[in-house]
This record gives sequence, C-alpha cells and structure tokens, in this order.
Amino acid sequence: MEFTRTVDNDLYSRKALAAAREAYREYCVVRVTPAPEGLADITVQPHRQYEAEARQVILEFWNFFLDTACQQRLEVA
Amino acid sequence: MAEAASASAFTSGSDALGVYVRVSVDPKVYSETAVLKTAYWFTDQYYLYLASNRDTGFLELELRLKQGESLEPLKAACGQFWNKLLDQEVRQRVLEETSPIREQLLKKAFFEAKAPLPSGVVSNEASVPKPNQNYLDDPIGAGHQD
Repeated sequence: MEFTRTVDNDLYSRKALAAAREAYREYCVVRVTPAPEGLADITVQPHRQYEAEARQVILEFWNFFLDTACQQRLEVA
Repeated sequence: MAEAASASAFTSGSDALGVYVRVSVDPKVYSETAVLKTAYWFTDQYYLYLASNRDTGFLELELRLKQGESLEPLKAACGQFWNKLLDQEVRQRVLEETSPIREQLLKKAFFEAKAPLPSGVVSNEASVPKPNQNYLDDPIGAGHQD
C-alpha cells in the first residue's frame, strides 16, 4: 500500500521532510516529486514487513512531519 | 472516495486510509500561527494533515482517529478543534497586544542588573581574615558554650 498527498512547501518545509524521512526510514520509503507553484507530491510506502500496519505507519509519518514543520515555523515566529 | 458537507463547518469523507473530517479555516479570521499551534496540540490525539487551498486561500485541516473508524468522535473533535483554535487566537492577540509592555519590563530588568553600583557604596572588609589567621582561631570565644 502506498499513499500520496500534495503538500505546500510553505506549510511543510523541506527541512521537516528531511527530518521525517530520516525518522521513518526504518518503516517506510518516502518519494518526493516536485510540483509547480511550491508544491510537492509526497508518496509514503511502508516496508513489506509493516504492510499490516500500513495505515498507522503512513499516518504517524504525516503527524511527525506536521509536528516538525509546526515546531520549525513557530520557533521562527 | 466519498465526501459529505455538514452545516457545522466541516466535511466528512473516506479514502484508502479510512474515515476523515476536514475543516476549512479562514486565515482572515484565524492567524496561521494559531492554526499551527492548535494543530500541534491535536496531533497528540488525532492524525492530522494540513493543506492550503490555493483557490479559496483557506487552510484545510484533515482529522482522523488513531484507533477506529467512527465518524461521531471525529465530529466531536471538530468542535474541540474550533474551541481550541479560538482560544489560541485570543492568546495570540493578547500576546501581540502586550508584547511592548513585556519588552519594556525585560529591558528594565536587564538594565538594572547591568547598572554599576551607586557611588558611596563601599565593601566593609573589616571581618575578612588576615593572612596569619585561620578558622581555628577564636579570639572572642564564639565557638565555646558557657
């Protein structure tokens, strides 16, 4: 199972993506396709051994990504 | 993928990851900082995803349950989200309104800490031990009980 979402780089920074990707490297593969107008398509695919917990892995990844992005934005503000 | 609108400012739907609700936040009413703080708060209990709608300019927040697929708890979560968002927005505005006062207080506190001692204040060092004295000397017998 894989799941793709489009993110706005203004909300979800590249730095936060790098942190989330690193944190979840053991659980899933994250593919990034740049899109026009500051957007990016992000596909999360859990590793085969975590296929049974795919929903949890994908959504935990997105929560971590959002948490990190929020922290970075709020530190700057 | 199905989606249904609700009168109480959210839409619900489902996709490959299950049931979700989505709220649209007007950035003219609620600041992005308030939305981010509220979202950060909610990631503890729900799965969240934030997107900006380029057509409307609204921020769209998607909530999902960590366990289960029921819509009712998600509807309740939407209500909690709006309450929390309003709370954060008020806090943010108060923070902005009072920031000049806080800055003044901080400046004053640091200025006083850095200021030199007023003239005329001299340390009294009459009781500082001399080089030939040690702690065992007790000329007035202060260490002995009567």
